[in-house]
Amino acid sequence: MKVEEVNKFAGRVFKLAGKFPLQVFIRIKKGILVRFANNGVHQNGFQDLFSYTVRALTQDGPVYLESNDVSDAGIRNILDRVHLLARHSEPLPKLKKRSYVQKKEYFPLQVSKTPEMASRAIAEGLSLIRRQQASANGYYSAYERFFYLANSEGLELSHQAAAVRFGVTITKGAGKGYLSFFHPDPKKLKVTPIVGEAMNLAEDASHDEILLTPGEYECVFSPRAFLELIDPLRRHFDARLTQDGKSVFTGALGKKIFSEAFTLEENIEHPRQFGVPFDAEGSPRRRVTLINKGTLKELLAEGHSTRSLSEHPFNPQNLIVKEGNLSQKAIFKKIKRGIFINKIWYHTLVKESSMEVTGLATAGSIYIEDGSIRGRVIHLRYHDSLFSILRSVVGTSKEQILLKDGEMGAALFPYIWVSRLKVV
Amino acid sequence: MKELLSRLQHKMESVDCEHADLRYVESERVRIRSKNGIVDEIKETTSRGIGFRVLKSGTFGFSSTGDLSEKSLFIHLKQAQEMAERFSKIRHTEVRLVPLKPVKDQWATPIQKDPWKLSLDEWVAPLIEAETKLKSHSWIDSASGVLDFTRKRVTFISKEGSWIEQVLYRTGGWLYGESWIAGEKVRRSWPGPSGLFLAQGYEAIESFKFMEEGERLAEELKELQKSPEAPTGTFDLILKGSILALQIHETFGHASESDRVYGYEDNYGGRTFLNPGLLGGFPVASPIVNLASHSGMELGPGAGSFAYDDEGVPSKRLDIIQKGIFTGYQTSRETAFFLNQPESSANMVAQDWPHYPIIRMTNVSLLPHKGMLDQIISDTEKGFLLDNELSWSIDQMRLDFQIGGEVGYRIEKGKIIGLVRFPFYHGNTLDFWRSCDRVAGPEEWRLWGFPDCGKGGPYQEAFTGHGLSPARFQNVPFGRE
Repeated sequence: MKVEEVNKFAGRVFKLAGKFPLQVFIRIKKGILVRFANNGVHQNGFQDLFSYTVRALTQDGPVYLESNDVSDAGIRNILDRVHLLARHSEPLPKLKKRSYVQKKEYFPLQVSKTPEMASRAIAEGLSLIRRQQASANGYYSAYERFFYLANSEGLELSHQAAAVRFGVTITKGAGKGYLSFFHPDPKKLKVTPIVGEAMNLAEDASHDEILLTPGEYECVFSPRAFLELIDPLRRHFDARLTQDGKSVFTGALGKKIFSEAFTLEENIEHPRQFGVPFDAEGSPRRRVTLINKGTLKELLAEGHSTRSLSEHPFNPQNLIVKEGNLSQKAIFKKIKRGIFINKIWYHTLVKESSMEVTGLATAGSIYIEDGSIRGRVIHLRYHDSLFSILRSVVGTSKEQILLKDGEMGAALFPYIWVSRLKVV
Repeated sequence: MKELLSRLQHKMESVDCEHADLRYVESERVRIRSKNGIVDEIKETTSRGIGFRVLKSGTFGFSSTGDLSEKSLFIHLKQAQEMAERFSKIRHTEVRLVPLKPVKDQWATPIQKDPWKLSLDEWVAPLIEAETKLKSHSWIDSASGVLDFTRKRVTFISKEGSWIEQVLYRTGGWLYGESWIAGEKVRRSWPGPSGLFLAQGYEAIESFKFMEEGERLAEELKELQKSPEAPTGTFDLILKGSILALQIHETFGHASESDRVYGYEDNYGGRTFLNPGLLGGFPVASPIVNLASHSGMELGPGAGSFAYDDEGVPSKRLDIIQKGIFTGYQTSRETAFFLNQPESSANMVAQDWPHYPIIRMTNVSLLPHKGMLDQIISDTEKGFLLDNELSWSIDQMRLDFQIGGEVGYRIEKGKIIGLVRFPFYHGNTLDFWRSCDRVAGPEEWRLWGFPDCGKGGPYQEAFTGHGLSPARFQNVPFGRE
């Protein structure tokens, strides 16, 4: 469906709805995802998705009706359900501010060519991997997306995006190395250096086998691992949750809660960030400094952040951790006795108030002693408090990596060095 | 639509390939959240579309669309064929399928009360009543609940000549209360923290008896106000209900999915310690452990039930563990061929039409042994009975796990003497299941089920069912020093 057709479609919905106050959110996604294992493709799929969500407010809460039936009968059916379920409908709140960040996230991507792009990229990667007597598994995806939001108050917004993602886990000897890539511009994907770096990590991990004794270790988290690590904290940045006393940040505004070396912001305005510049109610999104040098500075609230469609009303979706001065390699050299965690697995919250978490490290965790890589860590389970971990941030790398984060945003994270992580 | 599907089947017959199939899916799902006796949010999703799968030159190609015009559908069928051809040049191995007799059939989940014939008020009445009562207690900070109804009409058509129409219902819900105790949010839920789902209609919700169970939750939350946190140490552990369902699900449920053997889930769902060399003679659990999967309704209306899977394979029973010995993998037509087995175990499931079918556990159940839960408790010298999961994690091979419960009932000298907060235990799948010395009998057997088992890429979720009687495990480590 083209932009003009989307506008026309939304117009049909509002016309059929009459004076009933509602919001229409349209999502279009077209593209491919290919997965490979054992040095070859084992699964591929092309998706051509269109859906629209009609949202109405009631005295109690919102009602959402989602469908992909674009016929008049289909729209009428949805509207009938809205009338039935939202019996005491309320007007949609008027937005105070309507200036949006201009964010280019669309780069030319011929959807019909995505199978060809995928096969070319995967073939290039696999030929390098075979030459090195290694094996690999991973994925390639390329999508075009379109988001459209309009409401009966006359608001009309749209955002077009493209994305290419490539991830590879290489097994060389007994070592594993993982690296992933995401960018809206397909031309930015360079398979050879990604595979080369994952191969280096696999080689580093293939030397010796280290069985860690339980205890505290220094740790360097990859950007991907760190994004997953702090995930349980996300919903607590909601100002309303904090006011209600239900956030772990309640009472902590303005207080130093983490290490001075840790600064975290929600910032779609950053030139290297990508995402939808409006939230799911149409509010403009802006820069919010959540943690400034370890101090809880601001929270996400109505009118300027990321109201999502359902359960977690204010969820950061364009997180940035401030970069440091050292390279990742220079950080490794400063480690006395520590580990590098590249990817984490089954990260779970054990106890909320203390943010006690547990999980495992996968895909090539490396043991480092006196600045040198000693070998791979064969099994690593951590069990620690996120507060303790974030209080011990020593520094961050100067490299920042862009990561896809949810449907409508991205994260820009460096490598994070902490002085203590409890391994059990 | 039927005429269009007939033309598509005719078209598939003429496609130059080893196999082709399509799934036309119309899905509907309603999810209602309520809080403190008021409906808080309603989300209703309807969707329809087709996913085509073509096997050509030993490689599958898949293409899906919600645009149901004839032109679009023919384009996507062709695209699936072209993708199969394109990726066959970099395929990991030649895919071959075990034979399957074409079937023409219709089937619908047997239900007593169709949720789509009830009003919003009728849906929420028992939940709202129970929530209001739960919230009325001074020590309860909030009472919430969820109701979730799914109806899916699936038409599976293959080049081989199958035409199968199914209507699948899944119904679930849950109620929970929360109290703040010593600065910590403590939750008690029923039937499980993310519900109990069954292949039933609204009668599933009625069977949950929210009002009655809500009173029990309130009493337990009151007692938890003065209960200590769980100790660390080694104890005998009795699991029941949702947390035992999860223990089965995360360990042997996922470990016996055969796509993990071949690395298909290496970049997301993980692998398995159950390699084919262990099949048939290797003891993975104590002799009283019998684990069976039935994708049909032989073991009851498990949430993973259907008459045919998404490859058109009829549902059947699979014995995964018999008397502690690993005896069977959950397979597809593709992995059954790799494993030299004559037929698939009917475990191919796709979340919806845009999703490629992958191997999913359906209803994986711990078969009953003998005795009652009360007898197991009275035979326990020192230990804990755990109810409902709170946190869980397990490694990529499905061996090292840690699971936390909502509540622990402390047992001493055969009696429950109090409650503990935040109990969690850990272990190794093999050691843990080999330490299973009691499984209660058929009188205690009940189905549990989850709505959101995640796997695959693009990520997809599946309903799974787990029948079980409470079971005891010896010398299990609790907590972390």
